[in-house]
Amino acid sequence: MTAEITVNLYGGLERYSPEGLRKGNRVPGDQVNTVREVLDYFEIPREEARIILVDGHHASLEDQVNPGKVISIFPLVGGG
Amino acid sequence: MPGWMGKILYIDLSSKEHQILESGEDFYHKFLGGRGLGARLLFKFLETPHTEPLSSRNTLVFSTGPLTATVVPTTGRMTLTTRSPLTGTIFDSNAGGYWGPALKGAGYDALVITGKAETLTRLEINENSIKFVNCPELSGWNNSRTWEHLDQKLPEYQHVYIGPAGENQVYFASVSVGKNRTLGRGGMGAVLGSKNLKAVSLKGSRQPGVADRKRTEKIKEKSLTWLENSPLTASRLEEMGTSMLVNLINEAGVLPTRNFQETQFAGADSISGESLRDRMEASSGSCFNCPIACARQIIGPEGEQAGPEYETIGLLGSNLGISDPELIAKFNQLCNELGLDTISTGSVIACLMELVDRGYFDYQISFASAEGLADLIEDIARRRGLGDRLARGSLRFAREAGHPELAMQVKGLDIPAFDPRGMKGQGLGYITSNRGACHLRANMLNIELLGLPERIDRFTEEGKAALLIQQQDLNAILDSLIVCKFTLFALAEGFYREMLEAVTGVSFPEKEFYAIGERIWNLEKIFNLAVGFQRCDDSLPLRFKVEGGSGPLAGEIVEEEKMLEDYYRIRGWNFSGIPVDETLSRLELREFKHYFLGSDINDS
Repeated sequence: MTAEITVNLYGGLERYSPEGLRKGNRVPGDQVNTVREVLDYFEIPREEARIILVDGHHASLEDQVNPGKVISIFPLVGGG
Repeated sequence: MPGWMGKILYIDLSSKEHQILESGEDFYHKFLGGRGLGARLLFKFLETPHTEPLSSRNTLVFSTGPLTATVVPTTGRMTLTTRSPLTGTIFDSNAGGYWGPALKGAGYDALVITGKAETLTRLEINENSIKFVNCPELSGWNNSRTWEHLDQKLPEYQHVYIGPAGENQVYFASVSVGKNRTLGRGGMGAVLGSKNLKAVSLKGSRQPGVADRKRTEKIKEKSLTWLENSPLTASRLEEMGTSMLVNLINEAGVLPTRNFQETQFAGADSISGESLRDRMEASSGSCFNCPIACARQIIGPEGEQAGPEYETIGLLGSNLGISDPELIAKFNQLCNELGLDTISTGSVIACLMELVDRGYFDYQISFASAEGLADLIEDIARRRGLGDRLARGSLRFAREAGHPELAMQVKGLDIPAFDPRGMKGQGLGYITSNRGACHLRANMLNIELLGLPERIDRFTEEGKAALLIQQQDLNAILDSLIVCKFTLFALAEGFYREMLEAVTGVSFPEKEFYAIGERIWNLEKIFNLAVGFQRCDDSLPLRFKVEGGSGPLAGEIVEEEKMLEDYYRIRGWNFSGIPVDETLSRLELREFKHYFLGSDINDS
């Protein structure tokens, strides 16, 4: 198993994916240590990443990310 | 009386008589309009809260608010209040469109309808006349056909009307407002159906007075600027509609899946707003005086149709295990045509699927399969075969099948598409809502998932009661003004008070303003106490209290007793959930005390 982090970019943020992928973007685990570094990896401006979930739990920019984790990043969404 | 028209139209369908009544300022200042006025008028005109919901004596109160038809954005809304056949509680629903402004245009703040017409009837109301028109030829007509007919016949009028489900008194039949807005949830369409009332058409050119035009204009400009500056209300709701929530709700593990047995769905992305946007050609639509334009129209096989909202995707999609967006759009369209609430339709079918899955009920149906579903939905609306039994809602059906715990509802109202195990405040909202499980009395989505205005721990029960109560009271005010809840994404709370003061010229000190919401909440509660609801009815289905969900919800359950205790205490209610004397006095509701004194509930 490769040591990768999975990144989902939703609500239009998929435009920051090199492959234009919404789900299942892969980042080598040794290239990023924190949520902030994941944003930098995809060059997503901070203000666009309004909700960040790591394995479904809300996370902050400084939270550690480890291989095997799934990071989901959303812009401002609403409705209901 | 700026803001209000000061007149209420009362119609008795049995005698074909009507009266125009005037109400005092005090009445309006205490209950505003919309939902508050609806609750107050229901008490006034209903002989007793015990009135059977589908009897001729039940009463429909259509109402507008002091901001309706003014220049303030999103003020095209109207409310319908009655006793619900699905829940037995007091029930109100509000919708956008253009009918609310037309009611004021005809000269009325509210229209009260009671009695029962002999044959299928529609009403034509304008500033000068009220016409009762027999319309047996419209019997069984789908909604689009009915709308086209009315629009062609009376192009200057605005219409509310029911489809076959309403005529056949399905307990979760909706009422259509204009071409594509809906009064959903508690089966108000069935109440119109029980009265043989197919449609109410309105027109008029009157306008409510505005006390301070300059200030109102300023407020309009300011709120438009705010709505344009929030990315949500400026463009995101218009681009994707509410379906943009699907992926977030799924990743957060609160997306109802297979009758809430799971809370994440493998096919979520394919039914998400992003996928719908990619796959289906769409345009947006808006209500009276609204810049948000959240309504999505998609191009379906039979032309333009309403795109499925988030709730519909949850309940007719993931909760049935269905991941084909075209199927969901098709079922949505079918429900809209028949006049069925999509949440309850999805929920009662999911309940049937689980009963069958567990071997408790014999029928050919299974999760993830769309086979036979369109026919079943049609059968519900036409009350044919098994559809006739499902038409009385999930709780009654599951009870008859011997497994009431498999109906995902509170007080008979089906739980919307946010699983309470991952949003404890939302769970408390479901159990305390005066109309049963509902996300619109106080959606904790903003606070618990979106982090607006700031993020709090969604998994804890701690501190949720106080936050929820604040939201419930605020929403009662928004529902009474009436403005769209989506403005909350962009506007500060204090702004609503400013709007009210500018339009009416009445001063509402902050404390008094918020007390209006609390008063309305308590008045609705009194109705429910009067008809016998008790503390034990403020409870979620067993599943949420003993089984965890998927992903982040593994092992998560809702501990409702602790939250409920806090909630009753902060509300100023006793252990049984009855408002204590001090609360009634503070809210000027003492005159309603006799309604629940005779009920079976022990005062402790």
